[in-house]
Amino acid sequence: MSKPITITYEDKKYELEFTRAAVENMERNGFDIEEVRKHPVITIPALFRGAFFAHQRFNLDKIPYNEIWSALPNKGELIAKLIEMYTEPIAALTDEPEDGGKGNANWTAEW
Amino acid sequence: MVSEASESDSKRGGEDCSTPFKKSYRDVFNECFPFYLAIGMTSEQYWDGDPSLVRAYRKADEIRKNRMNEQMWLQGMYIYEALCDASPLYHDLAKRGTKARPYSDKPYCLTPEQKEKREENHEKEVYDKGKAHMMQMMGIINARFAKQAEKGDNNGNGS
Repeated sequence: MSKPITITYEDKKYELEFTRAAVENMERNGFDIEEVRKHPVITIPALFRGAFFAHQRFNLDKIPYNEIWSALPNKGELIAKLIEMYTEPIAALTDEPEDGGKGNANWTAEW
Repeated sequence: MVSEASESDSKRGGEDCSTPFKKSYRDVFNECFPFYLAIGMTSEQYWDGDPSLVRAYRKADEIRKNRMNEQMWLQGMYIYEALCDASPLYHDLAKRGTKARPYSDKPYCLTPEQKEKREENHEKEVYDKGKAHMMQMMGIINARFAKQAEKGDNNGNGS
């Protein structure tokens, strides 16, 4: 089972996770995960903010996102982890069967 | 997006049949939602719960289907056995008074422990039956000896 990221800032704990509702909310607001590589300056802050939706939905306006982001170490690793967490809801739905798909339909490419 | 399309494809106005179908994550979530509701997941679990919970629900659904299949197979076995037991009655040329074989008085043993328990009970039954029979025989023989002894005494006293 996936576990949320916990951040402690000024004695307050924040949990970061991407549920399906959080991903849907972000997409509704125009976020596209594929833009992270092309336009990281715009999309990474949106990705970071979106991670607060699942567990702090009713206090989103009160969270000091910029201050928390500035105070965090290992930002590169955090971004990679957030991207992995963002894709987890869709990956869990589209996983291959554990048995290798025995008995399922198969396909081959002929080019 | 779940699948990628090249920019040149999109500029062609979408008429090219080789352009892959573009779906947002939201579209996929909404498409899969009814299935997970059908297998017992709640709306809150699906949208707001642990994203990887769907894997457990899929596995549970597979286990449930296998169990249902086994139960139906077992029921078929009981029905088949019942029909076989009643089969003497279906014979057109069956003699008057033909009876069906009795239906099994016990269910099938489904686990090795149940089988072992049943064998133990059977052995105990056989033992108890044998013991009761021996006690009965003993009683008869003892009664015979007692009678003979009584007869002997009477003859001795009489003479």
